[in-house]
Amino acid sequence: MTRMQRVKETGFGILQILAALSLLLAPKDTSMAVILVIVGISFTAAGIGSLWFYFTMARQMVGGRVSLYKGIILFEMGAIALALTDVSHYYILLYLIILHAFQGLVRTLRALESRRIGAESYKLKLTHGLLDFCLAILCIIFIRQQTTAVLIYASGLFYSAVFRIVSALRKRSFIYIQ
Amino acid sequence: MNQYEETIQKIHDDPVLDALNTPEEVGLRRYRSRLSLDGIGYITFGIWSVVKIIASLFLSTEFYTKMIGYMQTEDEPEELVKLVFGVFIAIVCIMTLLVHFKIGVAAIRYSNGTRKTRGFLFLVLIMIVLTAHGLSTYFTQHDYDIKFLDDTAVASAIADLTGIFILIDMVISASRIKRFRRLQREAKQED
Amino acid sequence: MQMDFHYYATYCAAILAGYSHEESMDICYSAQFVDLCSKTLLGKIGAPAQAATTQLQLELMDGRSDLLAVQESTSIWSSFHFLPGNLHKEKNRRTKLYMDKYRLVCMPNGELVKKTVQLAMGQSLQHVGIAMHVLADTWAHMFFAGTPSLVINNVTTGDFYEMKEDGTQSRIFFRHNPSVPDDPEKNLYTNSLYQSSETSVMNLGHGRAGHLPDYSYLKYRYLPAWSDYRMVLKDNPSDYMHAFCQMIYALKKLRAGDDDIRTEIYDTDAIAGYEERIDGILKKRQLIACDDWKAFGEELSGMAIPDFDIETYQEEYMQAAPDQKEETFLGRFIRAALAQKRMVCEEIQSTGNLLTGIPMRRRKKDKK
Repeated sequence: MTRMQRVKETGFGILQILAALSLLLAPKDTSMAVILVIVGISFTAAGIGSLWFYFTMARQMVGGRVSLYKGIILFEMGAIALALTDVSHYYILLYLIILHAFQGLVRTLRALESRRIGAESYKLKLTHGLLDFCLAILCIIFIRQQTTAVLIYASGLFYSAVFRIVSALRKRSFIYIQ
Repeated sequence: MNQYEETIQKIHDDPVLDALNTPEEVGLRRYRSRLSLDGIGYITFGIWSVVKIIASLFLSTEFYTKMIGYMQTEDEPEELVKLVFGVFIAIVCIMTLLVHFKIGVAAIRYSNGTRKTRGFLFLVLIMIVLTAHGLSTYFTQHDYDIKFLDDTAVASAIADLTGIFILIDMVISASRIKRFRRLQREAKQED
Repeated sequence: MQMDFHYYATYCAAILAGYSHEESMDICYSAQFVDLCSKTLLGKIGAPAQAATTQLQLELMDGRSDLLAVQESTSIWSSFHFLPGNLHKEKNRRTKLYMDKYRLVCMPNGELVKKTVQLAMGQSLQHVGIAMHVLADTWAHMFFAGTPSLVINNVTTGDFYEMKEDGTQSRIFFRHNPSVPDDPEKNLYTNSLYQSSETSVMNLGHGRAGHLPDYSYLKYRYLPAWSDYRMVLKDNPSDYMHAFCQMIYALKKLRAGDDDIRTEIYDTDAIAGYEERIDGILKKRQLIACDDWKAFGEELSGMAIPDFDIETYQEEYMQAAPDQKEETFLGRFIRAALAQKRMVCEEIQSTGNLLTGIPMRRRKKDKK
């Protein structure tokens, strides 16, 4: 990682920690609304990104239309998430369960593939993946409790920030020719 | 031919490749790919429409309670209204899926040559008219006041416009495929 | 290309160009080392990371897909493995974003390959080896770009057909199972997974076509993402033969110190009497042809060719004093790699393309 990338990653990690703390300290209703807004903005941004990619590049590609359809659907998903104001906490938990379970699966598979080719960083990835699974399980166990959604989302932000900062600050030793 | 294509030509002068890259072959490949993707896209949009309907009902209690409220009269018990509403929604979802799958699968089969007739385009034209008509309802005043629908009107309109775009493209692609197949047959007969 | 061509075939080309056995060994070792000189290895021996000529799979997997990572990847892969054929290509109705990537598509006989050989003129044998690696790869890796790009490097996997000598065509099938070797008998090969992200590492180079460009026996047609629905033909036996003859031509020029380098010239006279043998090696249906090329090389020179050992020169470099490192084998290789990378990146940047980084004036201390 270059110095600029390290600074960027550390800064983003600190922002994530601050966001997690704000969610925990704010009233439950505000926190739920904030989670919905973050989810909505993420999807909308992903949709706009996909549409921009289609109109600038993928239009000229064989089979590039997929980006257009993906963009429209993501954009609409984001708009729906932003329009929701009175969602029961069960649905937010369902979203978090699916998100963390999927992320956990992907990270664990990538960690195993890294281990197979001899990369040392597989332990960090594997830990990250297993933590995602734990969060998904915790969501299921504590599904009836109102504050679970906020706690899980905030902890997701928090440990993601920790991993990001640890990854950014890991030593790389290179000696340059004089 | 630009310099890039000249380089390719010089290195790889192959009659088999020439036969694969005639204007008819290239055109056929282009429109078959477009029609196939249109079919997949339309099926995806159909699934997404159903997911949207169900998600809107479950995630927005405002939407659900107001719809039930508008359907219910003084004499009917709420459970009956909910049941009828549920059946109505189920029928709408199934019909949506059926139509989208029918059109999408037909488009994919026509693109890969499994299906020879273009009868599905009749259904496509009907869907273009219905979807276009549906677009206008996003922006007209309604008797029922559901904020959720108002907030998502623009996004839904864009999605429906894309659906119309896909359907129109299906018509164009299917026509071009027919034309290029005819040109291909004529070229083979001349040989 | 693989070790069979970069190491053994380069040795054969160097012998045919008139180099001695020892000189040919230095050249072919350097040519093969380009595929192994990663940041990880350089870090291990205490060498500058900027001299990396490749990225290992684990480095790519740990890597990111932001702009800086894309620039780093592009500067390495475009400089050593996917040398752009024409940085001034034009195509109608394309955005600058698209054209920046389209212009990085690797093609042989471009202006850059001429400059690569000229850059090696009067330089060390290690530099000659690097130039031969780059030249050879322009033939194997043509039609792909050394930058992660879905819109350029993606392929339609259902449209791959092998074109056999008897005129028949058989479909090529792909799977994503890197632990299982490719099966030429069943036409079953491994490729990278489809990833819809433009800058995913799965879309770097010829990953989507698997190792097909590296197998000298394969002649196949397929549909690349950039081709406007026109099929392209990849005739590896012919391309590899062109690469071999062009390497001999370039090596003769380098040995004579004649910097009048021209493209589209292939020294077919040098292989007189050996055409059938070489053709046989190239067309033999095998995943790696090291044994055949090695046998041919040993016949040509009458000397034994040692197997490639990545650690041969590492100890020498690590033990050398700091002011003596540049005179070691790897020190000369590193200097040559830095020069090649700088040349290619500056050429790309001079066209306004920032995919290899933002141009900087060289500081005085870099000019040493």
